[in-house]
Amino acid sequence: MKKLIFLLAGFILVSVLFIGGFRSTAFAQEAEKISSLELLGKAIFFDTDLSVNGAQSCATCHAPEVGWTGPDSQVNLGTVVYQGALPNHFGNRKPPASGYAGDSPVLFFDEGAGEWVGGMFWDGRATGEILGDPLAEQAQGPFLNPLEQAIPNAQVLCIRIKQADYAGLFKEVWGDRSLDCAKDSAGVYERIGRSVAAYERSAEVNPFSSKFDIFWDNAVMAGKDVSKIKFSGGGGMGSGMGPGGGGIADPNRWQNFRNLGLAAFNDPSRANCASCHSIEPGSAGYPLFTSFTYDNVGMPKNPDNPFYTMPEVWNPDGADFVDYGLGGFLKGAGYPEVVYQQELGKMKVPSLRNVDLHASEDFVKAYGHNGYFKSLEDIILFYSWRGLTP
Amino acid sequence: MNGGLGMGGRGMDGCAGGGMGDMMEMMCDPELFPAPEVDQNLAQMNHFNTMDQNNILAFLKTLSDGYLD
Repeated sequence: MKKLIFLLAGFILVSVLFIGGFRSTAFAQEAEKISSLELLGKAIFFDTDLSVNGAQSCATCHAPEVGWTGPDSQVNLGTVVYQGALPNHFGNRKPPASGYAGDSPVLFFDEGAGEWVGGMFWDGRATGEILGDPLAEQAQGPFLNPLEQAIPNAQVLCIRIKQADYAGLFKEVWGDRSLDCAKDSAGVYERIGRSVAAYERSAEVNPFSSKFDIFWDNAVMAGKDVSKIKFSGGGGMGSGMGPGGGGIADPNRWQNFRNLGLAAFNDPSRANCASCHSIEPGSAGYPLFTSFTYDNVGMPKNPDNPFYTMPEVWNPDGADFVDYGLGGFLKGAGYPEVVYQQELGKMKVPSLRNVDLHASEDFVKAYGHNGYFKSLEDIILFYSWRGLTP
Repeated sequence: MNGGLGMGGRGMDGCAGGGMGDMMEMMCDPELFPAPEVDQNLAQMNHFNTMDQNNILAFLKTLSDGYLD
């Protein structure tokens, strides 16, 4: 009986740590006002007039209600790739989430780890080398991409901004001469990218308001390192309930399925997800669940990808198109074979934040760079199955 | 369309039957999923059991924003 009371008290305490407890950090973030620069970026982000025919904004493919990725369940279930502003214009990949992406560094090769780190897009092609900010460079891309928003050039984009009801805000943020489309469209293009990036880094896009964040806050306040939550070794179920030491109220010794999931997620001898979906805190003090590195997880082709049937001008390889990811980008960028060969097939490791955020109960999300998988269950199964294959 | 692999007739670990440990792993279907699009530079990955898969799924569901809204 005494043991039962002890267990019950421990469960309540752990639950309080996870669910309630101290919310100071998250509340403080909620209270923050969006800055003028972020507000400008938001206006640009949601403006469908910044596409050739008024049909598409950034949010068309990166919507908040589903974690800043594709918001159309039918598209996710089918083609996965979103049609551009122009009919029958398709790129070749699923929209990556644009939230929680601001910490990705300028693309570089980490000599010590022997791997590429940083950049934006699934293949890292927004390296950040031009603006010093991969997120800003990524934000520039879709406006002028013929398969996306399809604005003909930076000058036309500038004129669209000048005609927008937020043109005054643009000048207020960047200066009276900041919207000179005749003499400085390149400068305006840069400011557009930086504005959108500022919004994408804002607390509105990155609220850190998940159940996990509450747990993280409370674990930190209790002096506990969540990244250390692993199984204690041994293979039996009975031995796998958390590291030794600490009382039952110890956040390192959770007793429910979520916490066992985190232990398996972290543990190098179990799923080891954290080796790529890092649980080390980012610049805001919370994990981003990505190491900003690249991997080939062995994703199958998605036969429903409409890129396979795109005209030769966009896809010279037709049905034989192979998505080489980072390696393909490096090859195209002129890196020698010895460099790009080792990167063929690798895609950027996405953040797992909002990975399950749905617009409704029956909403279908797609997973993987080409959206081959249609549920978290299936891609988790695939990852485990890959552990059994050569 | 390749949506919805479904788990009917299989455990979530991708193996038939209800065996345990090595026996269960030996029964796994090598063709459960199609071949990789790019069959080089493949990441080394760990196999993890059905319980871990279910628990990881539950953990990932805690990463959705809006809990404080």
